[in-house]
Amino acid sequence: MSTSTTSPVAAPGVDRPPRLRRRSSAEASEERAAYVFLAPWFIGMLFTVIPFGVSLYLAFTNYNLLQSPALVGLENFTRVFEDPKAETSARVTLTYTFLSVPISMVSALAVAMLLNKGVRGLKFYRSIFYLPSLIGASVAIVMLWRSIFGYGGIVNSFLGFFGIEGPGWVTDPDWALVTLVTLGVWSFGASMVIFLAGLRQIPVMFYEAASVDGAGWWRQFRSITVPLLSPVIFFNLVLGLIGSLQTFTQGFVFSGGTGGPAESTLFFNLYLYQQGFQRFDMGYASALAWVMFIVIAFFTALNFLVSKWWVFYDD
Amino acid sequence: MSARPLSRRTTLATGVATASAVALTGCSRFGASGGGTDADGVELTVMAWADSKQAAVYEKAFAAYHEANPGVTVKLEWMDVGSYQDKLNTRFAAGNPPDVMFLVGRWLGEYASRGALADLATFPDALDLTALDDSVLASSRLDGKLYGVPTGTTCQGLVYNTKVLQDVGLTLPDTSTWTWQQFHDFNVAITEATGRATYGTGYNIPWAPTVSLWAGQHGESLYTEDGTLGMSAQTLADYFQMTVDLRDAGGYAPAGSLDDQATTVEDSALGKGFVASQTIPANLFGDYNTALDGNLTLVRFPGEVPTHGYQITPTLLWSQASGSKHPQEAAALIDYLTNDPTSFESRAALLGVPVNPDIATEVAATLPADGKTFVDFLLGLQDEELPPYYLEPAGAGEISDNLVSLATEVEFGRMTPQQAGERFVTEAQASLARASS
Repeated sequence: MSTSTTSPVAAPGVDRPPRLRRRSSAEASEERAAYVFLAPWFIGMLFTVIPFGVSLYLAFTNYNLLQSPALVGLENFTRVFEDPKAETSARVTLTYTFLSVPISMVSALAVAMLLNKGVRGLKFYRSIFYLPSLIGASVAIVMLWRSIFGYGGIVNSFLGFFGIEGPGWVTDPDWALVTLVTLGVWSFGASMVIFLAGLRQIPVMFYEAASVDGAGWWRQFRSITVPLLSPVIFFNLVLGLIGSLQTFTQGFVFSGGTGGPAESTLFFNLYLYQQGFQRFDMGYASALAWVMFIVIAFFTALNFLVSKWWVFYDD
Repeated sequence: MSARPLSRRTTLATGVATASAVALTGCSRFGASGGGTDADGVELTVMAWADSKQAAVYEKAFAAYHEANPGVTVKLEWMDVGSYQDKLNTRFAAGNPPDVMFLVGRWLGEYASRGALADLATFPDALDLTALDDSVLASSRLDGKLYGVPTGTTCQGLVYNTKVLQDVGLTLPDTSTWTWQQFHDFNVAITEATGRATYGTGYNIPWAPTVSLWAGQHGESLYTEDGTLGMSAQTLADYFQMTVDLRDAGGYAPAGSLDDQATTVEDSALGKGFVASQTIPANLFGDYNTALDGNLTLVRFPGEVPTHGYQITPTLLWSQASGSKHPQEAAALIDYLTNDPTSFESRAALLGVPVNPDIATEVAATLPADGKTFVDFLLGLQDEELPPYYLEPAGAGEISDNLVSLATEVEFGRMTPQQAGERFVTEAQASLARASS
């Protein structure tokens, strides 16, 4: 590279970098320190990049975990689009995502706005609401959820009090995913904290000026809060989408790894896992993983594209 | 959930320290024939699914083995059945399989056809198979190779909670000859008599042994001798229809009320008194009966005699990884678990009736009451004409998962029994074709 930048035939108009002055020893040691701090990340990258490459290779092979992989070309990828269970699992995942992401974002924003009203003990409430998101995907909580929503659980006992006979929230294929959505929504804390931080960035004088002009709550929300908060909303949306498209633990623990009842919680990621570790079809599982990667990349790109029209950056 | 692992270093040290003792006493059982147990500091890993009580029983048997063969330490890794196969597969994939492991028939084909298992007939010095009946071993033989030795034999069982029946003044009909209609009426009667506090039954509808039994009663079998599907869509549809009728009449617990994830008997619908009857592998009768304070009675499934469809099957299989670093010692351990009465002292008939007839006689004589109930039940069947049991082909694991899904679809009325029957046959044939390709 250095040869081209020093070439006398460098294109006119290209700014040559100013000649570097000799670096002080302080700067040099700072630079070394930077690399030291970056080192864990580089090492971590190796653990990501290598499996990445291996999985891409395996996606083009027939690999049963016990014998060496054999190349089969695009077979695994064509199979993804002919596999009814892959379709079922994609539908489950998308349904979950399109239900849980909007609901949990609205809840997170609503709670953040309430907390931003200047409640006493904000730190306490912030921690309390944040707590579920730390443990929401944990095995213990999913098990707890199962028993709360079980046929004879608290929820149905409560409904029975009003003479309503509740369904098997966990065992009924029409309700199991809905139960998981409520679990997902309940752990909205992470995005709430980010919303709260964003809300506190909005200068109070905007609201004061708007009130003086006679703007009501809704008008203030639409014209001040949403536009100024839009980069934060965008950030939460992107993370939320990526996270819920990759849902695994909830479905796995909830159904004991089966995706049941009747495949109603068979998340794409869970199906991928089943193919790889229960059906000995690691090649196909890798292809599924790459299809998922491409779908997630597509949604994320779409998000960025659309963001031009609604995300407002102050600077 | 793995059992307190011994550190490798500790066990190696123990092995070295005791090596001279072994050499002096020459107490190794297979020393003369060059078999495994004259080894030093060998550590064998055994993977099994168990609850803590069962694990303690196995630990005892392995401790006794170590005492007799100080050169070999057996490390038991136990976990619940739900996570067992995932862990096992991960270990295989990592090239670090356990030396000896539990398998079930429906997995055997999948592991064996991929070269993961050792042919147990190739260790004649360490593993003595001469006492075993060939029909017992036939169900774990594939392409002329023996991939497992049954831990024992068992059969399908149906248990009723007699306390529930007594409380409402009901008595079981003659269960040696009862029909499905009588079964239906009796379960409905329980539900009505208890005012829906306890439902007549809540047995696991898609459990393969029960489905096989139904198939046997209708002149079919779930799988055939050459590994194809032997059950027709109509027969399965009829089975599902029977369960739908029973549920509609109130004899079976309502849709969605049973959670199949209970891990202990106490937590199950039967243990909580929500249902009065359940299907179990008959060898677990003792476990179930203890959990229910001795109130259970083990009875026959209804069925139109003479073909009652019962099968005597291997309970589980002891298999050995082809990648075991100590193949001779591992085979010798399987020999101990099959042919040595010491290994049955703690576990008796927990894993089924021993397959070595001499041991079976010996064990039967010392059994506690519940164990005797089970053994007598199984021996009672032996005198009758039974449909043969065939090794489940590769793909059977996926088929039994699909069966669970279809039973749920029928349970909630999302599919008719007829649709589910047809879907089952289509999917099962696809699974078998894919697994054998």
